[in-house]
Amino acid sequence: MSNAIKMDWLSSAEGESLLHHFYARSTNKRRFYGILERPPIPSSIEEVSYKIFMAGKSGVGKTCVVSRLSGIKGSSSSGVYVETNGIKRTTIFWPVKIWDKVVLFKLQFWDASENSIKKYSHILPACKDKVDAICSVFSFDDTATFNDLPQLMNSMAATKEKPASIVVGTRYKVWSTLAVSDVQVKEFEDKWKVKVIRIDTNKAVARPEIFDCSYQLNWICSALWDRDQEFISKQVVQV
Amino acid sequence: MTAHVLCLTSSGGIPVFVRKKGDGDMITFSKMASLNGVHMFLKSQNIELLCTDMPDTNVVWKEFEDSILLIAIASGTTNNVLNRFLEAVFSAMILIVGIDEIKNPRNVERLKRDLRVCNPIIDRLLECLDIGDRICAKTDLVDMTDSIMSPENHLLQSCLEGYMECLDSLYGCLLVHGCLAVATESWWSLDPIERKLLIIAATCDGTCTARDLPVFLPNKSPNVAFRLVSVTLVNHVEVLALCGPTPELAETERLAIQSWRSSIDILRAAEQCYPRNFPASVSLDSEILGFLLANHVIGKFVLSRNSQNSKNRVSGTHRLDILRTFYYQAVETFLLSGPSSNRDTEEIDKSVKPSKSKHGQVFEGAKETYWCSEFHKCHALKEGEYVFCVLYTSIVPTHTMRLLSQKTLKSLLADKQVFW
Repeated sequence: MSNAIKMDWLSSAEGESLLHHFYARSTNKRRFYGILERPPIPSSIEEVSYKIFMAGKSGVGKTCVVSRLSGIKGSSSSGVYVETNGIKRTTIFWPVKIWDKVVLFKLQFWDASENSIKKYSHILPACKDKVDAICSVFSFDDTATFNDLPQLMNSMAATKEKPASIVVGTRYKVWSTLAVSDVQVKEFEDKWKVKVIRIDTNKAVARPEIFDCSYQLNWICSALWDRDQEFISKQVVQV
Repeated sequence: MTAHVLCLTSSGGIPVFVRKKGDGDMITFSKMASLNGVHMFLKSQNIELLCTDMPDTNVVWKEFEDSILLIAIASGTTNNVLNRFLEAVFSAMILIVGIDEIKNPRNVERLKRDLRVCNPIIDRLLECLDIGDRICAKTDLVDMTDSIMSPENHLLQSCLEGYMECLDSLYGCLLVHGCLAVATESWWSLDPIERKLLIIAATCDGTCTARDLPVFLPNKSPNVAFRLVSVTLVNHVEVLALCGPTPELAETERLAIQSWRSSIDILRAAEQCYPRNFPASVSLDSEILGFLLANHVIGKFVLSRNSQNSKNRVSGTHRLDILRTFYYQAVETFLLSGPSSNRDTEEIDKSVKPSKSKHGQVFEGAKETYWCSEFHKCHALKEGEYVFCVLYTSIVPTHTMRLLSQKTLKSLLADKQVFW
């Protein structure tokens, strides 16, 4: 990974000055934007759009990850597991400082349950069409989902777009023993040359929720950025 | 107080799902088995068990397609409402898995798993029941479309029609905070329960930018699935459409941007209309706390709270709850008990000749009804296909309620911009 993206930029004065555009003033929650809207930031800031497909076993927490990244704390309202029906697409706007330039990432997460994919043939092709990244999700609670990762990544990577590979581990608890150990994760990271992004959707914190997922979102953006750089450099070589 | 809905297979009595609302305990397995047992025993005697009334609780049984038995147990509600509720629950099951899977399940465990997707929809239907709980997020009626009279509906209508033409679809509607603002003509031709369920299915799992749900239509197409596509245009405003295999989700979004881009200000204005739900050009008398305007022929309603009275002690949702209780208990019983009004009573009424007055006119239910309680008064007025229920403060004299209701209804319906 290049060091192009400043991971702690959001805490800087410049980062904080943009932050309020992403919040609804009345409720003090992250603002959600429809397709006709975008955050009211200066138009000089470049916007780049990416399509990310969430892959992973059913019940692993794909929907929870997306809703946490979009600013909803404590995941599904009642805490009860609800299976996603069909395709759910969520757009998250995220500002990133790359070298000395601020870029607005428009991350479009495509989320579909394993059961819907099996039952209806149109869902997987729609999700994989022109995809920029595959986000493979596993749970730190469940070794089986971790062991299935290589197979999942191989089956998903075989598309012509050469999507970037992102790996997210859900239900991560900092101070407890987990079914999937840190050593295993490290080994996996070295072998596949990817960063495993850890996330705990139920973590309760005092500071604004945005600081608690900025690390994860920055990593996702950096994976996308690296893929683009690689793509561009290859094209240059070909010429 | 609690409401339960149980689903069992008719043949083996195997529980498929149980959902509940309220603070009571989950129903025990033995209770479930006995409720099923009574029904099964009577069935073997060629008797159909319909319902039983206890002092505070009603139980309603309903068997569907000789394969699924639904049982509702609830306090504080009428059997009429529970019957329609069970119809809606069964329709919700068809919506998700289709009729074939329910009629001939290859494997009950698999059916159970597939029906898990139904749970949030059934929970929302349970919310429509009135079981005397004061705290509920939204006051909703079981088989009518919750709608909103936004100030520039006629402009939204033409935008919607343009968009639907691009999608090559007939069935579409625009939702503001989950309330229907405008819909295509074909959308209204869908069954009221279908309309209700489609809106619930599209809104029950939180906010997202776009959705593509496979749905069966309980009445129109129980065997072949359609795609219900929803796109959020601006925050809290989304447009739904029923599509065939094309266009793809990404394409519908592109078309949505194209069709709605120029109307963003009208959409924002419609969003601001919530939760008042009717245009600011109409003003309400200060004695009016809230109202429920229903079109019982088409099956839609507008529920509104008078914001001038926000300083009042009782919280807003509680007040609208009273209107719902009034509607279910008094309006449906007295005003809409005529022969043509209710689909469920229709069959019964066919056998019993409608009672005729001495002038030879068919009795179509009462025209007005009211309730007086310590803190509130309710008054309902029926005019053509409209029923207008108003919640008043208790200080308003009983005889002036009629005048105020008539005046308010007139001003609401006279507003040409409303287009409801």
